[in-house]
Amino acid sequence: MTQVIEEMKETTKNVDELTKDDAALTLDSVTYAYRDGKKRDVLKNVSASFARGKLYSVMGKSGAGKSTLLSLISGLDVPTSGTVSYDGVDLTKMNRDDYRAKSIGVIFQAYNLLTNATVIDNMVLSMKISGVKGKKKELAYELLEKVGIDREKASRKVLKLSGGEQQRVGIARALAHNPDVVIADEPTGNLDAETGQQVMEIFQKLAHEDGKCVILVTHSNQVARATDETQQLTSGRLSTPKKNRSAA
Amino acid sequence: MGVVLALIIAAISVSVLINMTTSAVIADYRSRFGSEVSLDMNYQRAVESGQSEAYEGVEGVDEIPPQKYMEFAKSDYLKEVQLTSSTMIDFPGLKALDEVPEDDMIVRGMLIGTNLKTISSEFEHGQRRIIDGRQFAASGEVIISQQFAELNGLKVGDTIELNRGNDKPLQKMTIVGIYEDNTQKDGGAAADFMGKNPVTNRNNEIIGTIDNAESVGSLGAVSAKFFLKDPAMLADFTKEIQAKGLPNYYDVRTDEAGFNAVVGPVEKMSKVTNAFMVVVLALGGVIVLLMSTLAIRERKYEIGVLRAMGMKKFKLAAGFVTEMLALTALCLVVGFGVGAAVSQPITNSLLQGQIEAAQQTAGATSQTMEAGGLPGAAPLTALDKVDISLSAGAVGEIALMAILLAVLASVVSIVSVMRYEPMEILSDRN
Ligand SMILES: Nc1ncnc2c1ncn2[C@@H]1O[C@H](COP(=O)(O)OP(=O)(O)OP(=O)(O)O)[C@@H](O)[C@H]1O
Ligand SMILES: [Mg+2]
Repeated sequence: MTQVIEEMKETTKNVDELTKDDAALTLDSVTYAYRDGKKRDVLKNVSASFARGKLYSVMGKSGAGKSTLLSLISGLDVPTSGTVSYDGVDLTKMNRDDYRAKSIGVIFQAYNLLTNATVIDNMVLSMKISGVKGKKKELAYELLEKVGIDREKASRKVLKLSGGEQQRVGIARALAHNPDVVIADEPTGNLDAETGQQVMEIFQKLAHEDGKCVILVTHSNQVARATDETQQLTSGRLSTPKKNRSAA
Repeated sequence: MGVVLALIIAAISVSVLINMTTSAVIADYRSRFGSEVSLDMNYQRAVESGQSEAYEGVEGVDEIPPQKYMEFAKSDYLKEVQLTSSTMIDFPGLKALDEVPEDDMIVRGMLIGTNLKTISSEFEHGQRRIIDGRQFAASGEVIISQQFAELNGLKVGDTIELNRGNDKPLQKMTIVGIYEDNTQKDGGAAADFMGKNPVTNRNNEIIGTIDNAESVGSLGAVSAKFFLKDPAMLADFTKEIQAKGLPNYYDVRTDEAGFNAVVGPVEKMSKVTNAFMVVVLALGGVIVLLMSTLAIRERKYEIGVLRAMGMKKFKLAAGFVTEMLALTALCLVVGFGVGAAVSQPITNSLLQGQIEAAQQTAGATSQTMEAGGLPGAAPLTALDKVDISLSAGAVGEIALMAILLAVLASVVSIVSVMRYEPMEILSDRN
């Protein structure tokens, strides 16, 4: 094992590339335009890297392209030019279904739950797709418990939950298959201060204790301050990361 | 979706069931009518070929000698031959019906010689009915009419003596049965325009085997019905009997008119249901296409969510196809049940409509027309009943069409799943 790492270090030419290889996610000159005819670049030449064990936040005005950025990271779409790589492999060169199913957990701004199915069914279905082995229901209840959804609520249809509750189900679902990378679009947008705080603690624990790479998109300065690094997305361009004092 | 699909399948079931049954009926009648050969003199050609005496044919003199018929009957192309001989006879010492005592007639009756198949159709159709004794079975056995028996005080077991009149040798025959004739209870149609004549009175007919006719010395007039093994053998059979001596001014034909009279309405109905089936299938296809497009559009979001979670396209498509097949299977059971239940009443009313239409266009004569052969043989009545049967073939065909619809719907969902990118679906909703 150590020998392998030694070999890897030997073949590595410089320190800069070494850090790149360590990153879970790397964006290299990513440009993106929606194929709706207007051809307006939503993302312009964005480069960034996100490492495991760290909690990141991306901020920006509404319409700045934050959700678009996340959709590229989650492999739901591919850049017009440039590359998004996971563990050094270009996403366009891998099976992105498998990537989504196993490596990454996405908490969508609009939750994207199956609203006519029960909470627990949503959870179990997602776990099945991801190929989670073992007692799925038990694990699902455990995760839901962590985000404050009890068994009674878990047996309800998603439709019959409040926005905040749905958001928390979305979080639980994203974590259900124990993904390497967690990305969340406004995960606390619909939560009160106290629940928001609890959820933030979950993300911090995921990054710092479980060694995941966690990226949050947020409008809230308070949420941003609770992350390790914050980057601003302004009209398609990403600023250099700013380390947050509390996390440093 | 399910209800509409069930309805479409029901409509398909109805048309397939009717089609299958009617085409079977038509094929059956086609082989029956198509196989019956009639030999008709073509008078015009007869005259053209210098057969002046052909005109005698108009008078009913048969140009083909009875022996020829017997020869024709021996053909490999035939599956069945019905021969009927009518020999004018007399029965010295007995009275005949419609007899005019002052007319000194040489013959006063008919000896009908036949193979049983011919005569049995008269008995089956109720024109004649055995009321005492039994049907004749061997040479020397005859059956006589009830009226003739009463007139002469004859009963089953008695013997009667026949000859061809004029002191010709007498032949003894045993009465084994007495029949009732229902066609001439009050004189009969023939008597109306020919005047009362004992020879034409069906009640004076003494019926037995062809051998009986031979034993009195003459077959008299022979009418023959030939049935081909296969309608396609008509040309070969014609050649064969022409070689055996059938004059070329005879038309050798199968009974197309009879076939049309009986099966025409069924055939027309079959065409209607055929067209109906095509329409239903085409319309059904379009409806299923539209419905599944709508259904899948409604589930676009579901597709997006599942794909976003990393479900593979083919798995998702397979899921939809499985769903579609299950739905189709259910609709097949329901639709087929409904279709099978309503196809009989629909057949009845369709057929009734066709028969009425046939009557209106061609007058009542087209529905009932005299068949050739035996005098007063069964009139041909248009087939007014088709029993719908559930054959394995019909069930198979219906299932096949249902599957076709399912495939159509599946293609829509597969194409949709393949085409939609999860990103587009999800961002559409946002
Ligand atoms: N499916 C789409 N087709 C075309 N344009 C789109 C589509 N989705 C988003 N856009 C446009 O791309 C730009 C970036 O959108 P995006 O959703 O990434 O913004 P955002 O930063 O997430 O905003 P918000 O904070 O409101 O969620 C916007 O101008 C938006 O109008
Ligand atoms: Mg957004």
